[in-house]
Amino acid sequence: MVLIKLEISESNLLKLKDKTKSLGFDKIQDYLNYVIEQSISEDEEQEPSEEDEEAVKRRLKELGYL
Amino acid sequence: MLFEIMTPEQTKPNIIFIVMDALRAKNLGCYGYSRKTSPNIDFLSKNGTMFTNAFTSNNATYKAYLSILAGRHVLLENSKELFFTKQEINSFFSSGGTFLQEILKKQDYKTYCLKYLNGWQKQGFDFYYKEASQKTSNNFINKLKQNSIARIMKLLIHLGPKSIADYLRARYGRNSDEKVTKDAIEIIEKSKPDEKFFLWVDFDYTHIPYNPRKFTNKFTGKGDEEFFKKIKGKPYNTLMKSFWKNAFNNNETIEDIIARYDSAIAFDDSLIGDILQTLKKKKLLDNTLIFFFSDHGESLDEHGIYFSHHGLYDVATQVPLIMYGKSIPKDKKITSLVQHEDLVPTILDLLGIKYSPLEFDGKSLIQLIKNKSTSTRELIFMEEGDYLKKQGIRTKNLKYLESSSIKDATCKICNNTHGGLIELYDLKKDPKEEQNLAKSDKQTLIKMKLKLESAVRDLKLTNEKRRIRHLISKKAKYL
Repeated sequence: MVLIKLEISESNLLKLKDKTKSLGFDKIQDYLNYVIEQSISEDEEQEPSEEDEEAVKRRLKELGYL
Repeated sequence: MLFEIMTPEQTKPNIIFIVMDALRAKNLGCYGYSRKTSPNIDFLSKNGTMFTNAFTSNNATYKAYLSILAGRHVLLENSKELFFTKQEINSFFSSGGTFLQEILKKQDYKTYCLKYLNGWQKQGFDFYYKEASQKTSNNFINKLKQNSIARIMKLLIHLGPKSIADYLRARYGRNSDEKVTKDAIEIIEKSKPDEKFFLWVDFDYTHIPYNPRKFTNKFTGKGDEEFFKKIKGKPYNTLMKSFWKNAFNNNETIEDIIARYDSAIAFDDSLIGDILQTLKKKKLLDNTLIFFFSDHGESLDEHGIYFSHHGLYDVATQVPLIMYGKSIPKDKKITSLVQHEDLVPTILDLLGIKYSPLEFDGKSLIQLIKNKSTSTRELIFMEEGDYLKKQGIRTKNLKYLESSSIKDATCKICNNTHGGLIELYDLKKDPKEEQNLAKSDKQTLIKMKLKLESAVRDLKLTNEKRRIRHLISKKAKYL
């Protein structure tokens, strides 16, 4: 974990506190990490792994397409 | 789920969904059709924004409706059903699924659905049409009698000889599109200036038997091969044959029936004209957002699939989508891939209602509408699970479809596999999806199957994230 300083408005801080509480997170930091992870994982396009590719080829072969 | 309004003081527009059942985009004037089927829909398109590559992710009506109203795609499990199974619908609710009408209700909208609704479909609507069986008394014997009569009537309407079925449809059938229009007009006329409404107007003359009560012969066919002669001796399902006999005359050609389908579009389009006139008269046209679309398309004679919407070919999965309203650009065409699930987040953005993107599989189209982006998605995921069990993906230029076994790939209506177990089409060279490249273009085949698997994995993962979040939020409420 890296420590960073973040400036946000008071109104947003209040909202963050509310959300943290209502969603059952212990700390604002936990909630923020969760939101960031969600947002970044949505944007990332994952390349298929070699294992995935091998499994797909095997299946297509079984079905008579390769 | 947490939804907050961004600007509560701002006047919210009314919202109208105009939905035509089984309407394929390509049979509308604004989508380039040669027959003048749709002057009023063309008006909406000319004065609004039209999406030329809009798709459903499921070609069965009530499954498409969930995607439209929930902004999510519920993955099908192992059964072949026209409706969601208990397991499937549970996966939606257990992950905090909410419908557009419920969100709008919390924003003080009155919610109307001019369609027959059952079970989960009713959730959040103040008004909807009820089946006769929903209106009966609590008396068990009376209920049994009424249900039995209703069932016999339904059987005759759908499978009886055409002459009897036409009579019963006219006299005892479900509400006509004229009645839907009359009710829509009444709701608009009675609306008060300080009240907002969300109104779903549902037309179904464009669904088989394509039997508009007027305009039946607005267009005429030119073919000479009679439909029943064409399918004679072919292994179509007996039930489907009865269904066709119930819907079409013995001597009708395929072109005659297509002309009837087009006449049904033209008639429903004239009813849309009546609704637009009422909005204009009531001075509500400027403060109403109109969304015109269909639940799925229709195969008329393509791929040997006659007058049905099974098969995940573009004729059955491509839908028209037009948005009209003050905040929507006029005479604009958007070619990016979009799907039903995108409607809810788009509407929430247009209304300034905040939401977490995790709530929806759909993506807001607001950036496309405002010219700030050229694409929201690389592909459309689609599946079907009634007459066939198939999954597939469609990019701008390619289509990949697969079933996991020959049994799943065998169509219950047509008794054949249409394109086989696995299908791959180059849509640029072969827009009619007739040349299956699955055995000849191996590189693309592998690439597309990997993309399909990744799309399914993403849908499952997103739903699991929602389920966990929903559990945490439920737990927090009880602490």
